[in-house]
Amino acid sequence: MIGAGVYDGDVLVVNRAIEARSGDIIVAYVDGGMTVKRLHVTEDAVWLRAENAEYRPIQVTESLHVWAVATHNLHTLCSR
Amino acid sequence: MFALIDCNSFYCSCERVYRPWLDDVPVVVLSNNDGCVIARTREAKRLGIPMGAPYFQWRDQLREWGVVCFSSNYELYGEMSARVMATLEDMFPRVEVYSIDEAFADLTGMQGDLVDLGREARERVLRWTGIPVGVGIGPTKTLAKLANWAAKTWRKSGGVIDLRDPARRDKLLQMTEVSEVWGVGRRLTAKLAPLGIRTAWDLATYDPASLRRQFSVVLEKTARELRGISCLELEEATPPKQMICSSKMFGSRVRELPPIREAVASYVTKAAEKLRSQNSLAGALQVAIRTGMHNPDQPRYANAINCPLPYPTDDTRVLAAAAVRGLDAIYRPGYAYSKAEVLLMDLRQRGEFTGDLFADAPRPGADRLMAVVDRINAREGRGTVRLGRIPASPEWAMKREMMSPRYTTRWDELMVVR
Repeated sequence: MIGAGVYDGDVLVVNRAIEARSGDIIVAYVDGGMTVKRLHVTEDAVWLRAENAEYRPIQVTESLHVWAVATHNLHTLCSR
Repeated sequence: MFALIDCNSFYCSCERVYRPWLDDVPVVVLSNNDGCVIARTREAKRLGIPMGAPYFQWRDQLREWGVVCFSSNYELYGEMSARVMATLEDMFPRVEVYSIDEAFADLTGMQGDLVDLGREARERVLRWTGIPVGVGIGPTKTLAKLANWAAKTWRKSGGVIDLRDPARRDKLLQMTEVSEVWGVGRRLTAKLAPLGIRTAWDLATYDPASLRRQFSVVLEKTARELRGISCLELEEATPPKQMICSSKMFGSRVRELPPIREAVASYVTKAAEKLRSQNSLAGALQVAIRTGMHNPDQPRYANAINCPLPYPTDDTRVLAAAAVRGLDAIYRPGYAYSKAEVLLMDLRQRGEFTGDLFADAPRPGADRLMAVVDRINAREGRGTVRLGRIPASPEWAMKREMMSPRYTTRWDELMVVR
């Protein structure tokens, strides 16, 4: 999720109460694991984008289990 | 009009929130020290795993069935419970938190369709906290509780059952065994059978005066409540406890005195925290220790002692010193101890206590010190500031080999996402 400014080791603040919309960064349960992705909803498909050139977007075929919507990111700038 | 909102398989549901892949898998939660099964999901119940099943007897069978077992993680459950209750308090003006996973709400004066309101409560709690709940609605607390039980038992209800309609109510009462009624335990059920009281309906239609005579005024009220006459009020503020107990089995048997001293000091710490949270002072303290009681090859010993306190107090240091002195007096070498218990008694509210002219005076600054300790521990986690005699990871600590992370209360145990 580097493209969205979310790096390895960051702490995400998430909200389970709000409904996910296209464009949100979400925590989702996909293929037996939890993942952070950008939700992208088009007219005929639902995509999860990793915001990282190394990973291809995933098309969601079954029902999508959105666990929470990420609202803030705590990124460590100095770990001393 | 009341609603009873109850979390489904609460401890298991807490574990599932953070592991969605367990949604269709049977899950059980074990008691302290992984002793026996204390919570089961619907799937686990269907496999025939009884409540209280000893883990060591069932371990292989559980593994074979693919049942996922967790050690109890009360820090997580307590926090999840607070979230559920806060969500309900947001929806209903008057809420009585009845237990860690149940709450009554007063629906008097609530507008609109109450069943819709119940559904909305279910959806909101599920969405905000991840915990599934059932809702029972009735004109009395006893009926709301029965409706809730029915909502759980019959899935078609959609998790909400409303017993305001007397015809529906009577039908359910006739179908329900009396043992399912709130406050009617196994012993009472056995005593009611000879009188011909087998269903909830039998109890509701029995002569109230003779119930009072033969049993108690409590059972009379239960019968009246089943008929729709409200006798029990919503209790929003729970009265302070009269006694506080902190006891635990050791993770393994302990023979030497020093580790038992550590354990007793740590149990005192926990009891004193509870004491301060309800603004009470303890006038008396009792310490008890015992060996295991079931192994015929080992000598048995159990003893308890009252430990004099210099004055009614909530100071952990004073209480711990008294408890350890008491422990030293009852400890006997040569036994394999399995459990220690600390009991705070003769509790009184702060204002009710008159100082004794000839007794020792409380240590100056004790109140402020304890308040600061509680604040730090509330923020940084229990045990951050503790008595010097309690080690960070003691050898007597409980066995919790299958405990999930404390996701909601510890920075270093947050859920990790890729």
